[in-house]
Amino acid sequence: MEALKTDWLSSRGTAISVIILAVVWTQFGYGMLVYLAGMSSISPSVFEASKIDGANWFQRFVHVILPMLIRTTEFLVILNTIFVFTSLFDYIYTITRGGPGYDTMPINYWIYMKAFRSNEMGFACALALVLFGILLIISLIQRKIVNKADDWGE
Amino acid sequence: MSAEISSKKKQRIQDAIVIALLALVALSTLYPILFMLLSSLKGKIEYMKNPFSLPASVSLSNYILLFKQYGVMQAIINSFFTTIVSITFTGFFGALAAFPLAKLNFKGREAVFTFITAFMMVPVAVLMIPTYVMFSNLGMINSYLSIIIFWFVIDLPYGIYMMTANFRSIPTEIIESAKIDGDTLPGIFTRIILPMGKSILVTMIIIYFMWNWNDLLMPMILLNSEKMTTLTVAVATIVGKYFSNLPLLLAGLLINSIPTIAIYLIFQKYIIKGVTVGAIK
Repeated sequence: MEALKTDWLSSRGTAISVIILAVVWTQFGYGMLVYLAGMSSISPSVFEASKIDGANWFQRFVHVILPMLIRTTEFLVILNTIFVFTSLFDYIYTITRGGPGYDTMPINYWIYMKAFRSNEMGFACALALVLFGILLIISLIQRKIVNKADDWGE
Repeated sequence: MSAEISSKKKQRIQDAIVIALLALVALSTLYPILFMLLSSLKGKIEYMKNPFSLPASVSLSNYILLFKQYGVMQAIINSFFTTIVSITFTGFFGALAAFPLAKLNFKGREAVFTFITAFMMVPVAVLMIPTYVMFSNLGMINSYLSIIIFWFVIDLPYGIYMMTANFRSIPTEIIESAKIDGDTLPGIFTRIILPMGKSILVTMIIIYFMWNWNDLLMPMILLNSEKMTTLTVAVATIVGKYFSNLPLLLAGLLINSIPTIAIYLIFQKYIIKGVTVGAIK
């Protein structure tokens, strides 16, 4: 056990994994709820049919449930991508403050640091615009996916 | 006969494994809260000796210290005041805007709706510098009004979007017949739309409460004096100053999470509906 003893927050490479763990831990309940809601909208007759055809639980999961949840998965992927760009501030501020070095520095914490800690408003505004551009592209992709999904509908 | 029994047995074992795994997941989610509760009852030295042991004796000294020395009471009042005022306004005006967007026909309705919902995509990180500059030019830094206005503006589009989508499912015939009976638009809003859309309104207000109560960034920027700051910020600043005294910090975090946990337990049904609405069509 002694070998496992590392200072997780102050070594390069491990600090970011702590952040990832914290984000996954807090967000996974939401993902579970969304998937649960998606699954309950699948008609039970589909499960019955695949059971009668002799599919085991793994085959049912891979060939029936996952393809039917493709919309839910798309939704979650987009939402979590946006989340990473917009909502990491709380985690970074309370856990690592961007350190060690710039190892765990996300863009929104960087904007905050530049604007309110080192008083480089111009740099911070430029960062904010870059973030805005990134999110604009993600939203456009999202809109495309939503429209495509609407086409599939009846 | 024996084949049937063995398949039943197999089913039971399968169920047991699934339940055990799910229980493990549930435990991993609940454990940090338990850890927070137990550790907050310990002293600093006791915590450093063994963070995972049960507290030797129940002492509320951390809580007393927080209230007496760190002015947590003022922060609690600030948090409740700003959060409740902002969610009341957002809920009311959100419903007020959603009603015409969902149920009345007027020119440019779709354009207005698209325009409002487009603001959902603008992240807070992009807005924080202009907001700060604007409020400091107005001399409104360190006033409740600044954070209330900011939350109101930032939360409103999402509420309008959700409530419009929900109000659309109210049958138009009811509104038509109320019109024929001579009811005015404000009357229709208070007597038909609000009672029928009560569930989405409650859901939205709960979501807003959680967002605003847990918001760290904007209160930190807009309310930076110790007297005005919200509880979440107050606790986070204790982290910065007294990182070595973790039990004290955990006590503060527990106080901070009590309202959200309480609201979750009371309104569980609404919250689950609220987070999944919009996820599936």
